[in-house]
Parts: sequence; C-alpha cells; structure tokens
Amino acid sequence: MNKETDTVIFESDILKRFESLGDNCEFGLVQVAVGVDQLGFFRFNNSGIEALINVLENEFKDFAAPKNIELEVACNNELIVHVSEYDFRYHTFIQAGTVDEARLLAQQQNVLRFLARKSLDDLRSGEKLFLRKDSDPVSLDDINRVQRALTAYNANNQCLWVRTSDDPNKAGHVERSNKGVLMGYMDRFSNYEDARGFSFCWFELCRSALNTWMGKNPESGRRANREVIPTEYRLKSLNDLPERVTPTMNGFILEDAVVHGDSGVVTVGSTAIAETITTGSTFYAKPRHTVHLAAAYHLFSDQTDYIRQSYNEAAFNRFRAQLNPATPATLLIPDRRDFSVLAPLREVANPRIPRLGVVRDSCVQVERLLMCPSRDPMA
Amino acid sequence: MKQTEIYDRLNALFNEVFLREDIKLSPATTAADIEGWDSFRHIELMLVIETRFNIQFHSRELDEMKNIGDLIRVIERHLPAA
Repeated sequence: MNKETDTVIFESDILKRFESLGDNCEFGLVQVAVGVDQLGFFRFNNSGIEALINVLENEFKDFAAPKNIELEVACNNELIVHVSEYDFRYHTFIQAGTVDEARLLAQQQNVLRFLARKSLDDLRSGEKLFLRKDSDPVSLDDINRVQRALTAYNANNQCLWVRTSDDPNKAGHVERSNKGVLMGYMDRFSNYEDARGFSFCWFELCRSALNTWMGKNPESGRRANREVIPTEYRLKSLNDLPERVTPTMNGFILEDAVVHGDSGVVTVGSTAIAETITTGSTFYAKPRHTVHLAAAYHLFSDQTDYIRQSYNEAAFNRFRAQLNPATPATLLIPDRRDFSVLAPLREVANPRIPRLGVVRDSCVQVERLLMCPSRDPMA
Repeated sequence: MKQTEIYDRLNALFNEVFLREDIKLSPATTAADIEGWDSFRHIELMLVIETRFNIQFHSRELDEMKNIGDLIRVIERHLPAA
C-alpha cells in the first residue's frame, strides 16, 4: 500500500465507539462485520422503547433478580430468556428439552448480572455513543426521554436515533435536534428475519455521527462524496458485462474493477455489480485516489465463518499457490450475493495480508478482480 | 502471580469451559482459533475468569481484549503485585 495508508481510518475504530440500544441485533451485526465484537446487553435482544427507557431510568434495578427471569419456548422450540420486570427477550439458541432448564436459568442470571454491570460501566464512562434504531414509529418525546436518561449517568452521553428516510440525500446524514438528540438516517434497515443483510450506509452514518458528537465536521474522514444514485449506476449482474468478464477455471476475472472504500461495493466501469441481500440498495463512492494491493485474498463461502471471521486457511493456500506471484493488485472475493462479507475478509487473522482500511476521500482500486466460485475448486 | 502461572490456569480453564483437552493458548490466540468461542461463550469465559481469579473486569478492558495476550495483561493488572 502506498503512503495513503497514513490516513487510514478503519471502520472498526469508528464502530467500537458505539453501543447499541436495540431495537434488534442489526447494528450488533454491523459491528461484528468489521471485527468489533463487544459484549453488550442491548446488542442481541429485541427491546421496545418503553422497556429501554424503563431499564435506563431504573439503573437496571433488580434486573437479574431470579423472580424477574423466566424461560419461554418459542414456536421453533428454542428457549428464550424473558426478563419479565422490564419485558426484554433474547435468544439462547438452545432447544427446549436438551438442557437442564434450572441450571440454564441460573447461568442466565449470572450473564444478566454481568451484562448489566458492563452496561452501567459504559453509561457512566461517557465514552460511548448510544445508538437506537427504530423501524416502527417512535415519538421524539420517547427519544428525548432516552437522551435524558443517558445524560443522567454522564453528561457526555449521547443518543443517536436512527431511522430510515425515503430521501436518498438524507441517507448517512446526521443532524442534531433542539433537545440534543443526534438523528441519523438510513436508506433501509435489514429484515427482522435476517438482520445480516444490513446496508453499508451504516458505515457512513456512524462516521458522520461520531464526528458530530466529537465536534468535528461531519464530513471529515469520509471515504468519498455521497451522491444521488444515477439510474445507470444501479446494480447489474455479471451477465450484463460480457466484454469485461473472463471466465476461468477458478471463477471470473473482471477487468478494471474497483472496490470502493471499505464497504465492499464493487464497480466495473460505471456499473455497480455488488449486491446486498435486499435488492434495490446500493452504496458506492466516486473514485479519487488509488491504492494498489500487494496481496491476494480468498475465502470459500461454504467453509468460512463470517461471523467469527475465520476461514479455511488450507483452501486459501491451495488457491493462492495457483496465482502468479508477479501479478499485482489481485483481490479475490467469494461468489456470494451478500457483499457484506468483504469487510470481514480484510479482518482475517493473517498478519501477512495487509488489512484494508478506509482512506480519506478515496477508493481502493484493483487491476483485476477475481470472482471466485462458491466452493473450493481444488477440493 | 507470574505470567506462566496465569497461562497455565487459563489453559486449564479454557479446556474445562470448551470441554476439550487439547487447547494450548498463546498470546496470539483469538476467538477465531477456538471452535465455539462466540459471544455467548465469551461471556461465560469472562465470568469464570472473574470468579477464579477473584477480579472484576471493567467495560473498557472487555472491549479492548483482542487476544489471549491482551487478556493476560488485563488479568495481571488486576492481581496484586507479586
């Protein structure tokens, strides 16, 4: 990488400053995608706004008391922990009838006690930006109550309230209300059924919010100008790019491909080819500077655990051995429609492979982009 | 307590929590290196470590632990000087 690495700001450095306040696990998964795997009570549970206000205003009082915790059985037979006093629920990913439920309940009390202590630590430290997202209508009065409850712990605490906006110019934008709440706008949220299909707009929004909170220009450190998406720049499939795609035994070579920032958005010429799970949502940046890669990545989607950011090293090494070491700037990505996997790819624990970060006002350019098959071709 | 002793105790503790006998920790070991070390298991680990070492982690320490080396340093910081 060239000298531009001096200005690298990793998404993980930004996202670790945030603490999710629900309403579901989407933002927790955004953090995990860039390697921020912080423990937090609100990160992986479903919580209504009233429950959130109640627990904040009562400082988690009796939160882990045995009388307040019960196990419920979901329709898929999974055991769900219900904190009845505050009406929180979260998954155990354990099937009913497979464990000693009394023991599980006792264990969950310890977990809740631990997480409540950690949440109180975070609330009192004033070092985190507390993010609340809401898909359902929530009143600004309620959000103001959240803000008041947060500042009762530490005057530096800040609530960031995130909602969707139909206005494409607002996506990623953050503004401050007259009551001091930061209000952020997304183009979309992921589905409740599968929160992993999140929008890359989260990264832009968090950067703006953190800058605003810290009194900096919201634009500083942004990867590129945000623009209204021109119609011709919408997603296209590889089949629509015949002259730029060369099939090989290992997949496809895309000439002149550009990977934008750290978001995983890939363009060929003026055509965006990256897709998220939900169609119709694209995020990209205009190329300004160029960073040449010196290494290759390859992960096999069937053998890679993106959440834990582990990958099949043997498969990787076999594939890499086929590459011409003299070939510069080759980036390999798995053949998946969910390009959110690109962020974890750069976080894999292989010190020999330089991690890509977000370079100010720039994109990352590769000379060739290999679209790999979904299975290890050598297996 | 010396670092080697902390390693030994952690090794035993990890094998106990993950129901294995072959885990050998090193400073570079991360969650990605041990099958089943997810967020839920991480909480369990932290709880057991707090109990066994009679310490209490701060939130910032928990957030900044990236590998076993970091964990050892945090534990050392909480233990009385030898």
